[in-house]
Amino acid sequence: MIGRVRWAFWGTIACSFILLGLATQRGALLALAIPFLVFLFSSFYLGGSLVPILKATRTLSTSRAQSGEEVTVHIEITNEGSSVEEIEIIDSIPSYLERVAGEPRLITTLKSGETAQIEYTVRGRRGFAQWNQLSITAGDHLGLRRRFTKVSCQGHLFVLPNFPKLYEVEIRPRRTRVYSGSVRTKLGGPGIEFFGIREYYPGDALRHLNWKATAHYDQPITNEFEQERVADIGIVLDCRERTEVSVGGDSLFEQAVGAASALADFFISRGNRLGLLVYGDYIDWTFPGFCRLQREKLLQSLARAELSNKTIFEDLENIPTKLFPAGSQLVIVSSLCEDDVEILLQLCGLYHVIVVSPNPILFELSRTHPTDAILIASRIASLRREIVLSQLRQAGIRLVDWDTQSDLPIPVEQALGRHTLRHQQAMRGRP
Amino acid sequence: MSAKVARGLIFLSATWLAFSLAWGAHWAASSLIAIVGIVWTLNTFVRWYFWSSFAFLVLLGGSALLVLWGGSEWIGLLTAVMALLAWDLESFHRRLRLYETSEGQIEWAHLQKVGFIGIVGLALASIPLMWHFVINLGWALFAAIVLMGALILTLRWGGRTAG
Repeated sequence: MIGRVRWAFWGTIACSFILLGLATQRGALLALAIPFLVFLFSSFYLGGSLVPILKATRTLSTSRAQSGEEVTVHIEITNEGSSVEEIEIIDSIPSYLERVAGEPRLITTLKSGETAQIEYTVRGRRGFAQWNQLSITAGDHLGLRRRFTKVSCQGHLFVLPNFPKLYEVEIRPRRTRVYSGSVRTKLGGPGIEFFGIREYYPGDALRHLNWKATAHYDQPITNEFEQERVADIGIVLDCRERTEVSVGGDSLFEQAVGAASALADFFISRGNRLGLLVYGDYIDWTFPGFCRLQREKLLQSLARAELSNKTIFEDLENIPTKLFPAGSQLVIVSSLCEDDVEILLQLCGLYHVIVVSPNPILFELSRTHPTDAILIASRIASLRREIVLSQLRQAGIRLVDWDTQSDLPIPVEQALGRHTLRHQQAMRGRP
Repeated sequence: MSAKVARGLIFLSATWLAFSLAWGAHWAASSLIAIVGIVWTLNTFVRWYFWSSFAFLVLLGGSALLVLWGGSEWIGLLTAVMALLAWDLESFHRRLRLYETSEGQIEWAHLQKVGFIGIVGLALASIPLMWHFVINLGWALFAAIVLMGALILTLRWGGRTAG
């Protein structure tokens, strides 16, 4: 009971004593009202300021953290105005974060020039947490006067997704950039991997002479290597709510974000030029770039990624293809719907497409108690999904059908590793 | 600290009032005050929130009855002031539990302020108890109207900043 309610409560008691005293003509009953009147009147004369001039600063132990990592939030509030008898300071914790230790609230007296401090520790799941204001309630000790204000106190924290490290993803985009990198180009030239042999020309390195071939053809023959260059890669993360499966707090989308992060980390660490499209809520496009700064931008974008159910992005047909250079590598991370096939086949004509698809059926099945009906339903759903996947495979799309129970690197290396690529090419009769 | 002081005040005010009522052979009222005092004291541990306001009103009612039944006016006044302080301190302690307080500084400041105003209130209230005077009905009505008007204005004035 505080503020107006307390005013009314004490005021009613004082009035009751006065009326009772007058009605019964007992002076002592009137005297009982006096302490209450003194309390009510004194709050105005001895109450102190209710309009503090506050300056608040927020310091975080880090502005980027991995999911589950603890972060300490420290707030300093300095009173640059007149003294306040009682000040309540409440900091609201963003929904992505949970408090681990300390209290985000404080009640204290704050004299002019004094500083109060709040410190608490939070732990977050993937997301972007932003603090804007502190809620301040200034009051007097008697609890009769209160004034509510907000003080600006900015701060933000990126909680980056956790992801496994990938070691081998072989890509073969139709076009590469001129800079040397790690993507093999099907062109002879300087490199590491043997590509073929050709006639020796003056200026060729003598150490690359192929002596056996020279003896065989009776003319100087030199080894040729496959050129390795950097490539343009675009990752598309599917954030459509219709592709999401959530069971008991576990989300398939989070697995997809983890996969996209792992792929982004891998491609950028190999020196490629990487862009990211978060497809669902709006066209959230991270412009392609290289190096660690780009990696940070991509991870921050993935940290912000959220599911969306906007009608315009219901299908993949609104993927803005102009963002990706023609012939570049496109990696789509999506659990896929049946009607995505057509769009993916169209994209296949423009880009070299890889689809990493967390399996929604196995995801849900592993988190539910399997009854006969559920098992039959899952078999039907698996067959339908297999039809979709086989259509994509037939079109030349390289595919990772990821059972999220297993670690991502295993299925990725099985499906996208160097040996798998050679095997796939051999099956199609390509060199 | 404020919780301990509140418990002490509750115990003292309820005990004095109960004994004073028992002295006048008002056994039912005395028993009621004793029970309410005990429950209120226990309530400071278990936090049954509405009970403190109820017990506070019962003790004030008991003080008024003591005065009306010809008991000690001083005990009635002391009980009312102590119950008021106890109610305020308990409410304050309850609020403090929600926050991370800084080294009891605010608690001590609150106790000082409330204690000082309580003593001033007690001193002002004891003046009419010591100095008896008689006023006729007209003056009494005039004084009542002025006082009520002032109180209403104060309440309205206070209501603006009460939050």
